[in-house]
Amino acid sequence: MYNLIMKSLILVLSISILCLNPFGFYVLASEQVNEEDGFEVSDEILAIVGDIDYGEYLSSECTTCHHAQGLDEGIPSITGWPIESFVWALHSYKSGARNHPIMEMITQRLSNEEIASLAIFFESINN
Amino acid sequence: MKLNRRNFISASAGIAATMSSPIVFGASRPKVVVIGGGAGGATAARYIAKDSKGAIDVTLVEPTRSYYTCFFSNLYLGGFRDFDSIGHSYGKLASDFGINVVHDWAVDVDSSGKTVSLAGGGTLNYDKLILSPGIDFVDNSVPGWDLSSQNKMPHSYKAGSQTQLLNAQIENMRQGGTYCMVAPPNPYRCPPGPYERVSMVAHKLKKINPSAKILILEPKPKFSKQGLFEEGWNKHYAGMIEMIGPEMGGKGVEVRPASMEVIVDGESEKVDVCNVIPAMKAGKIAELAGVTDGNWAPTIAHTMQSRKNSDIHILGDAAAQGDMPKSGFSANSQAKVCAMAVRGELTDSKVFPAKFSNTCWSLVDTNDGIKVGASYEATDEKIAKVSGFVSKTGEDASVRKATYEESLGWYAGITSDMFG
Ligand SMILES: Cc1cc2nc3c(=O)[nH]c(=O)nc-3n(C[C@H](O)[C@H](O)[C@H](O)COP(=O)(O)OP(=O)(O)OC[C@H]3O[C@@H](n4cnc5c(N)ncnc54)[C@H](O)[C@@H]3O)c2cc1C
Repeated sequence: MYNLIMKSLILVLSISILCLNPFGFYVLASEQVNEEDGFEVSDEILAIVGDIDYGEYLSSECTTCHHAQGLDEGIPSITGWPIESFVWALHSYKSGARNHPIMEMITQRLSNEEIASLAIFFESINN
Repeated sequence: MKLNRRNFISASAGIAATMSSPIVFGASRPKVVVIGGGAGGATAARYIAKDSKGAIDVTLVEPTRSYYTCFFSNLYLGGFRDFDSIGHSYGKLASDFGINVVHDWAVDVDSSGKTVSLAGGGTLNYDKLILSPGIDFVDNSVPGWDLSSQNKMPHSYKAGSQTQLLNAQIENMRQGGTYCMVAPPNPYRCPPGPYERVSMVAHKLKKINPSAKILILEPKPKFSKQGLFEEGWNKHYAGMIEMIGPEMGGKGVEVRPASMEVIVDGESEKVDVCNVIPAMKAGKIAELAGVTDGNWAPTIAHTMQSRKNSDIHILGDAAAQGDMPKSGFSANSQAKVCAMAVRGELTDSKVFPAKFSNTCWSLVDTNDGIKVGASYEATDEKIAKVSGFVSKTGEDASVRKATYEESLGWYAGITSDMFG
């Protein structure tokens, strides 16, 4: 069920990014091709409320590559995402349903709480 | 009261004091001095200033007014970037983050009095000192070469005028001439750097000087991403690149800058451009601060503190920290752990467990990018590798193109993470 909601969310997101920058769309779209249909995140994981301060600290590992002000040249922007899309995306890498060597490596050592904390922090950044 | 000149002065002094007090937090703000405004130092200064929200007084000492990144300097040699695009100023660190940027050389550290002396004559006090001075070269590691010969035989391993010089030498090389690289022994900054450079020089020569040759004098039995580089060189630059390994004389090379000769296994060879990358050690100031052991400065992984002095932290290339390669990405990652630890000690802010990661992208030819990366954790002994990945030989062109594009994103990300 959530999978379906996510599909529409991602679609909305992709479209909005497409409007901003066709390149960002390309990166997201190319990754979605690898995504296994049917990847779902459990309701318990989605219910975790993150700690925004912890998320801010953890975010420093992301901003070496993902531009902190939301530029998306070559690497997608991760600021201002809806929390659930963010959580879903990170879990899809963590589980291996979606493939990217760096993202799989980074997410494999993030706990569910850490992912929730990153999600709440990055959602709060609106550029 | 009649306002005469005398009480006017004291009155305005009083006003100045009250006006500035909310910004200054009294005289007791803890002081952090950062030496070196590169990948480690600029990041540490920015994170401490940003996250302490004015509670810590941060001074950054860096002699150059524009920092030219070594990362992507090879892409400039290949013609993929212009020189200005790899230069960055410290303006935002001063204006947006309140960092006191001092353009000067640190020439000494008195670790008992906790002061830093500057070449210009000033002295800075610190509660915590962060050293991220990058590298210097080991004297006499390539017999015949010293800093006085760097114009004849550039290293271009600190970016800036050296990079432009090497570029000019390559562009002006006679048709059919030889570009020679004397590759560095381990450990050195950016393990794939020399081989990305060979790729970029080959890319340029193929266009402007297709009969030119590249000669690598290699002291190491193997190097980073070797299989990937060699695959790319065969594919894109067949017949152009020759490598002489350690067993054939690639180790123990001597040079004669005046006559542009390299002596390999006792035999002299004349070359046209000679890029000597000597053995490296921690930037000199680390030694002067008394925190080195041999060529590098040992650190505690959890905090990036010196093992010899707990008030001094060491970042980036200068540190002997364990498993991380000496890269800009690593220095940036270590800087964040250090910034958190320093704030924790000085202002009791929350400290979370240290985590590190690194990825090094290299460009082999147009849209042919490769990468290697790993994640790391702090143990009591060192920064220890947890897991890693590397591009594969025979990868699809679309993957290689995406890898290159990713590196562009990384460059934009890390430089904004360093300089705001
Ligand atoms: C050709 C090449 C390509 C590279 N490519 C990559 C790459 O693609 N990705 C990557 O991650 N890394 C790359 N690197 C490595 C990267 O540049 C370094 O690892 C990184 O810059 C190290 O950061 P640092 O802070 O230790 O030193 P630096 O960035 O070198 O900064 C040191 C600073 O300290 C200053 N300094 C030194 N002594 C003093 C003193 N006494 N007083 C005041 N200031 C002082 C210097 O002026 C300098 O600005 C590359 C390196 C080279 C040479």
